[in-house]
Amino acid sequence: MSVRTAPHPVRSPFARIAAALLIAVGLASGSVAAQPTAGPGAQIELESTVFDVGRQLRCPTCVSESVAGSNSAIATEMRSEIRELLQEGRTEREILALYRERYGDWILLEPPREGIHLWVWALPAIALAAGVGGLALLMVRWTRASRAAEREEPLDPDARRRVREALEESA
Amino acid sequence: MPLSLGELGGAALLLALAFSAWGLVGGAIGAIRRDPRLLTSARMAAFATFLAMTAAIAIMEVALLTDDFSVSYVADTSRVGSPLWVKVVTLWAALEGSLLLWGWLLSGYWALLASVAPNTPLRPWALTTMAGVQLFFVLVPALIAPPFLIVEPVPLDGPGPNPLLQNHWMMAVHPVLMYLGFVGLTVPFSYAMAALITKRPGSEWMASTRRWTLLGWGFLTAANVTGGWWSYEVLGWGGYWAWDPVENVAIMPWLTATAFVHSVQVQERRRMLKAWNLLLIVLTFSLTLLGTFLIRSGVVSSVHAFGDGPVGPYFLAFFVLVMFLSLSLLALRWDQVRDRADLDHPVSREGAFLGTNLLFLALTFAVLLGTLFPLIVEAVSGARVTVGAPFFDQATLPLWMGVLALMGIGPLLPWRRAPDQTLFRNLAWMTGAAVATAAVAAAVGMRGVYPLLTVALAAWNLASLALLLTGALAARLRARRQSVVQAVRRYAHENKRRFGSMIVHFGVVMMAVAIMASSAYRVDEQIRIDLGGSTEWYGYTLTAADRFMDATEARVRAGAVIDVHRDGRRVTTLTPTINVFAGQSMSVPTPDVLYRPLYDIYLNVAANIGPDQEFVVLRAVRSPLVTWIWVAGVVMAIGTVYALTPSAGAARETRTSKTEERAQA
Repeated sequence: MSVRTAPHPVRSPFARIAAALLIAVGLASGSVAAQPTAGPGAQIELESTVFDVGRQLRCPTCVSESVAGSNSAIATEMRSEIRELLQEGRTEREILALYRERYGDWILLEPPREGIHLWVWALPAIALAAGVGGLALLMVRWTRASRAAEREEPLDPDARRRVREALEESA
Repeated sequence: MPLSLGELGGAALLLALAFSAWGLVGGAIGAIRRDPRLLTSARMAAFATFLAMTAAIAIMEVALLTDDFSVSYVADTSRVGSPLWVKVVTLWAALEGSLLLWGWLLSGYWALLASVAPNTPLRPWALTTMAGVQLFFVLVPALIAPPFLIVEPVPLDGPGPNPLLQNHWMMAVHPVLMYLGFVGLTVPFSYAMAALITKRPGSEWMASTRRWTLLGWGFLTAANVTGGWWSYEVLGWGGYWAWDPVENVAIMPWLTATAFVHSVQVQERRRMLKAWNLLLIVLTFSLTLLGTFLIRSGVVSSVHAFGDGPVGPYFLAFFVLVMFLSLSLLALRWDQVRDRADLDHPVSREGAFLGTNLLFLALTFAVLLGTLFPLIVEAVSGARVTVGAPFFDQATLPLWMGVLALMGIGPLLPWRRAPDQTLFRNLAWMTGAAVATAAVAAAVGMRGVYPLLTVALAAWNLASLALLLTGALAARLRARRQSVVQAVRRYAHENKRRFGSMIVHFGVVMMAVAIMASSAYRVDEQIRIDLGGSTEWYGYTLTAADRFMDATEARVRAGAVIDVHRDGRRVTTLTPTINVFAGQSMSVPTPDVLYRPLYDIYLNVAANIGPDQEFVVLRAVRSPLVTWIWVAGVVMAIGTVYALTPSAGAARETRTSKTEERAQA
């Protein structure tokens, strides 16, 4: 029953090298060191976009972290790659598509709205709609009974209220 | 030869096993035969189990503190060189020990319940159910995941606990709170079972467990908030909630428990929703078991890796057993628990509670589905899919907004039916506040549907709280000559439950705004600073003054020394560090944070720090208002405690609140 998920296979040679680095060093430094010193303004915007894209990608060797969240070697490498791609003028969408091609749907933290993934998007909505519908039906039924009771009520409303309050008080 | 600690601990667990088994068997026979002597003896079993479990815990602590590596759990998780506090909390740093802790806390609740629960017809079966749950939680450490095995030959040292767990003192607090929450909700579950068995599904079982339920809920809330803070302080990505499977299984029982805390009031006041409340508490309790199964069996992988073990299938079996027994019991008693149609109008307090229930259940469903979906797909088609944070954000945000909307309107609505005039006046005030706030927010440059909606709903809720308070005070101020402060204090004192709930709701509003600001306006940057150089970061000047590396017996660490200046004045020095603990290969960051009310400066080491390296690479995170999440957690805790404190005159409280309601209606 308890199938342990094996470490996810790393497909590209680039990633395999990075993974080896991770084990050997714990942290990568090479490509980061090559990065130019950050200045304010446009640099901050670029950096934020790097992390925005990273938040939508799964870190391939981590247990359950995003590329933006992880400090592992491969996540750091991927962030530099994303930075380079952004500097080349690629859009967020293009970069995500690139990684999807390389690793498959699995790399996307947001399941695409197609194929088998549709279920995970549709089911909560269906469940909520069913819940709202069911509750509305129940409410109609429950209030109908109380409305009917009101119509057939032989007592005058004032007396009824007093009886109810007395009941509540004793409860 | 004297007995070893391992043998003593094993013996204590076997005693606890025997006592809790007697609590179950003796309690059941006694309850069926209505034999007071048997029942007393089964009650005594609760105290005996608690003593035996306390002994087991004490023996384990002695073994940990004296570095007795002949005990398997100590050999697997402890180290001679660890600091004292780490040794103490190593008790719950790995699977076997933390389940032992769970069992001990449960036995404490059981014993407490056995001594304070009034002698009602429900008590025998409630205690028997507790005994049944306890039996499982003794069986696990006694037989399935035993911490007291004897290791031969005795190792000289061990690997030490998981590095993520020895990195922050919060680890001493958060798991205990989580277990106290889980265990606390076992009490209402047990009373619910007792109510079904004895055919008394009225509100008696809830009245007896109202405080227990609120206590369990409060602990769960605190556990989730402290877990978030731990994540913020330790994981190094500047966030506090990642929709990781472990977080998801911790939030699910909280969601259903929150629904339960609200919907019990409908049954207390209106005798409705009997079956629904029973179902909710069964679901809440079962979700704690299902969650433990999911994360302890390794079927879902998580960043909070606490090590899996052999217990998964047993938790699954217990989950199935609990679901089967309680749902069968519910089906068997269906005639007694069925609701009679008695709803006056959907626009009423009970109507709002029904809506809230629906939203919380929908949230639970979305989180459960998102967590299990990769498993289901892999089982069905073999394909590997990922469901990550973006899904959970998008699927749950509309529902959270609905919860906030109902939280504002619900408490203002009277039971049964809202008189149109008051309702429209209140709604006008609240809508006015919401629209005005959203307009101001948009004018100062806030964009996006959810951020604007969140501030609007925050204003909506604050207006609602103000209306609630003025509505309650107006009558008092008119009737008696007293100052406003006096009136508020008197009202708070006489309506502890209601005032406590207002404090909690205020905390929720704070938290909603803080979560919105810290996630929607978060900025991440990877920055490189040359040693001696500096860089500007949102009004602060960060200067890389130095770097350091040192090694102690327990760990090797390397870090950067960053001076933080603002307007030329030194504010503080931050030392983000990276650690490798002895006996472990994984490196663990220790980010350093400058806590500020508007936004924190959060720095984490992002690349190697070498001796011949003339720069440091850091990850800087600026997430606005994030500190207010922890403050909001404290506010919610205070509100819960306030609602729990006994009122000066309980009888008077119900009377005044009733008069008030009539005055409001």
